[in-house]
Formats: sequence, C-alpha cells, structure tokens
Amino acid sequence: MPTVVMASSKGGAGKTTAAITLASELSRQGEEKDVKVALIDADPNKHGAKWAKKPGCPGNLNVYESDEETIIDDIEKAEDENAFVIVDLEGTASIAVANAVSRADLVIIPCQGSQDDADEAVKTIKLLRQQSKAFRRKIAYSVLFTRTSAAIVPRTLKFIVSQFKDAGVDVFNVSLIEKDAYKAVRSYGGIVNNLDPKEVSGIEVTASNAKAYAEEVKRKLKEIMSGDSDG
Amino acid sequence: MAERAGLDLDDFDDELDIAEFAGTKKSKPKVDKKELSKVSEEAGFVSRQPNKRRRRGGRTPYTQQKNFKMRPEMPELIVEIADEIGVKDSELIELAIEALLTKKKMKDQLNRYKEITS
Repeated sequence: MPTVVMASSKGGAGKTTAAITLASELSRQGEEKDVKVALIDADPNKHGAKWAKKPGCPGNLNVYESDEETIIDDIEKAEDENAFVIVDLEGTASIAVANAVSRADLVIIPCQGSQDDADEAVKTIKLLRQQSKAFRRKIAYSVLFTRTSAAIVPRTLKFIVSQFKDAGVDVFNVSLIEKDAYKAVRSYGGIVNNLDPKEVSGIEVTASNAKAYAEEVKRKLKEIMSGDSDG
Repeated sequence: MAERAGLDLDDFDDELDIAEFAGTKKSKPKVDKKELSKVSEEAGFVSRQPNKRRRRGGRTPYTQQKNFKMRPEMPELIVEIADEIGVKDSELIELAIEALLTKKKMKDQLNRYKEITS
C-alpha cells in the first residue's frame, strides 16, 4: 500500500492542504469500492486531525496522530490496514520528516512560487538524496506548486520551475490553485465536492483541480509501484 | 467513403481505478534508526521533541558524608590514584580500607565491610 509523504521544511508551503486534498479525493473515489485511506498527522499543530474531527469527514478515511518517535511504526501499521497512506508533517527540518521519508514510496514537496519556499524544497531534496545514498534506496519525489493563480503564471514561478526542471527534479504538471474552497473545507469540514455553493464559490473548479492532482499522484504511484524495489 | 482515423482520447479523462492500489506493496528495506538519525542530522534535520531527562547510571550508594582534614597535596594524590585505577574517590577509600583489613587480617571488620558494600 503506497505511502505518500508531504515534506518541506518551510511552514505555510501547503503541506496540510496537499495532504487533506489528496486524502479527501482518494477517499471520495474509494468510498463505494471500500478502499481505505489513511491520513497520518505528524504535525504537532494537528491541523489535519482537527479537520478530520469536523463533520463530513469521509467514512473510509482513517486519521492517525503521530510524532517523530512513533512515525515509522505508525506508517507501517497504516500500510497494513489501508490502500493509501498519506503523511502530513510539520514545516521544519525535523527528524520526523527524515523518519517519515525513510518509509515513503513518494515524497511530495509542496512549494509556493517564492525563493524562500524553493530554498527549503532544495533542503528537503538534499535530505532525500543523502538518504537514498546512505540506504541504497531510491526515494521518488516530486515538487508540487501550491497557491498558484488559475489565470497567470508569474515570472518568479516560471524561473523556479525551470531551475528545478534543469536540475532534473520532477515537478507536478498540475499545481494546487489558490481557491477559497480549499480553505473552506478547513472551517466547515468534509471535502470540497460537498461544500455548499451558496456559502463557497469556485467549488467545481477546485474539485476538478483536486481530482487532477490526485490523478497525477496515482499515475506517479503506479509507475513507482511497478518498478524495481531498489529503483 | 474513406474514414478518418480518430484520436484515441477515450480514456484521456478517466481516472485510474483506485482499487488497483489496494494490494500493492513495495518492499522497503528496514533502516537502522541510529544511522537514520545520523544522516538526517547531517542534512540539518534534527529532533524537535524535548530531551528526556536521563539519570546517569543507577542510584548511587554513596549517601553519607565524612569530612576530615588531610595534609596538603593529599587530595590531589587521591585524585591521581583514583584516575589511574579508574574509580571515583569514594570507591578508592573503600578499596584502601578493604586492602588494609585483608593485610592486617582483621576478619570481623572485613566481614562488616563486606556486609556494608554488598
């Protein structure tokens, strides 16, 4: 059962939004097929766990709270009980991040189109490369741009994307667009698709963005899971 | 009439079946936690949890104090001997007493010594 870890040592990069959105969309798709999804919240702020306690959380989504000491065991346990495991982490260079990525099939590095975010993404990539080297295991990772504009691509973002691509870093084709609906689920609870259109705008666009993101994750995972175990 | 070849766009928007991931598990080698911590710290990823207070070793049996005067430089000599033998001051005094009692064949006191230190 694939484990996807959201990692970036920068706070506010969009890790929790990326984790909740993926967990919600996979749970939505898996509801009728009885596919279970796990969301492990290892961020001491527990924003993910707080969201899950609000009404409307999918029934097939299991939420676990974790910390740096138990994260490895928690991931392994969740892998046995769920079809997907999604791990949300604190935005710091912590050992919890290092422990979680050691059990990841795919690491998603959320990053806003700013130099600060990109610098921290590079720090995370260096950790992944060092771990891959030390433990002779290829850890797949991809940078996901977050809070992007649906209408324009600013020059700074273009420059950062091109720098990652030139360095051979995989970058998601899709990005998480800046939409109020992503924020609304955090206050109302539940998933984007079930928000009330009278209360929140842009639900359809956001749901479609979430779906495209989840599809790209699944495609990456399919490729990873069918590859050699040592990459 | 000739028919144009269509573009194969049928499954373009189709989602991958989520159920196909349920049975997939990729073996991930177990990593040594100490080695993992070392690699992580080298990359600047450190522990964020408060350090647990650890008592060094067990509870010490040396709870009583005895103050007495010595000749100058004797304390330094005691430290030197203790360092050389690899024991602490309190242990050194005990070893010295044990050696003395054994040498002088003071059986009663030696037995008491053994009772105290057992």
